[in-house]
Amino acid sequence: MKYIVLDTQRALALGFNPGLYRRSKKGIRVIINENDLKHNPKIPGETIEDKALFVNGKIYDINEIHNLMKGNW
Amino acid sequence: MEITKKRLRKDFEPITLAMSLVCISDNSPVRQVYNAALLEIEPERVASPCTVLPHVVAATSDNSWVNGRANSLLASMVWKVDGVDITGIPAWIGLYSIETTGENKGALIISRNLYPSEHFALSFEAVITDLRFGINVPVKIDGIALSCADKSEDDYSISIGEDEIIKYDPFKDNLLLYEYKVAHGIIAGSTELRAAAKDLNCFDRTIALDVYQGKNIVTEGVTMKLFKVTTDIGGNAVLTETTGTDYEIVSKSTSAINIDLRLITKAEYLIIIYVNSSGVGSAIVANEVARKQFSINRLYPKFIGEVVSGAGILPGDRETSNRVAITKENSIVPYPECVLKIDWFSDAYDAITGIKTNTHNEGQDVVIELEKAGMGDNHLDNWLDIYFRATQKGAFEVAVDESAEVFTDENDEILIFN
Repeated sequence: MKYIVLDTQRALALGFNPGLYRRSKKGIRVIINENDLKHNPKIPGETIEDKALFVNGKIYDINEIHNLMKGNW
Repeated sequence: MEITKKRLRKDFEPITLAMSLVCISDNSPVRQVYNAALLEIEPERVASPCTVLPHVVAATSDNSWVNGRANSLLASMVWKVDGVDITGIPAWIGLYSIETTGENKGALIISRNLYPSEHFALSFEAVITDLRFGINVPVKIDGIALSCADKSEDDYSISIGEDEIIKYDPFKDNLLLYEYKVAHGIIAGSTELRAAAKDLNCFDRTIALDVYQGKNIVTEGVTMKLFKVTTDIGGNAVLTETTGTDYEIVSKSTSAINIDLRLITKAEYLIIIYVNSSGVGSAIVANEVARKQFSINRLYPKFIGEVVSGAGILPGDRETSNRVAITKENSIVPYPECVLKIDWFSDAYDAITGIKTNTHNEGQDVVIELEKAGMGDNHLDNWLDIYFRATQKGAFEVAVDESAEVFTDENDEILIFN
């Protein structure tokens, strides 16, 4: 499964409730998973990559997201 | 002057609570999937936590309670995992948090991942302070489980060798007719005749069970429980595991369920298959992997009945006899008293009331004493109307004495009647 990091404000605008997602220390970014992208009707695109581009998010696999969370993201 | 005070109080209705545990993280559900190909659990909860909310709504019939959605009023909140306070479980330390403010107050945010053999039942307890009465109203909710499915394994399913709605028509039951004839001495019983009477419509119903994992039939490592499904006053389904006193269940196993349909009017059953996933002996944890519901309904089909003989009565006759003919779907029903309660009546002339009705015997045949029935010799009273009422007999019941002890025969078989 892929995970996507995007700005909290962008996530809010797309209908995500930041309170239900993993947030960065300052709360300016959230982590969503690929199913969140697939099942959101506001996000166009055929592939996860297209959808991530639309939300201005970056895609991570599980190891990469764990490394990210250990740092100061 | 002595003054007495009288205290007046507002009368309030108590609150009623609607409570449930709901997973509000749509794409991080209570059931994870283990992807064996990637060696990953999906979704991984450190990155995508699962949030379970105790959804509490309060209301009163007198509208004196304004906080419909009552989560913000929760206090003394305790989450339990398999009945144990989560704060006291070392394996959960640092892997959860509880929302303490706002409309999602009480929500359990879970960062713990489960593996395919793991299964946890969550429950929630708290109180809501009702300032109108100065009391704490308890909140107690259970009924959500965390689990993990192995994506490399196929799902289990159950196939039964019957329709999910089984309809029993006693008129079509040749075995019932055979048993009736033997019991009434009409024929001598034999193993061959009994076997010949058994068909798809008989009361002795065997429901074949096949448990599949993917496309393969599973015969080992699974157990089966059979439940009766009823409804409580609130309209909620209640499951009660069948026991030895559910006499309609003759036998049950993971390969077949044998039911005596004579004992059922209407019933719903649920088959649940379990797989033993971990532990040994009494510590074995059995996980539910599949369930299948079926129902049984006794049919009450239409039939037509008529008195067979319309022949006149000779002056010297003292009695008359007659018989009922029952037809169903254009076919004569043999020995109708096997499935029908047939009561005979006659009407004769009565000098005072005009009509005198007599009740005669029950059964397919009737014999009437003419003088007793009121038949006379003049033009006013030399007639008799003969008729019957036929109703389909209901389900059989187990014969018990006044102490609810079950009657059995010399072979220890229970006795039933209808």
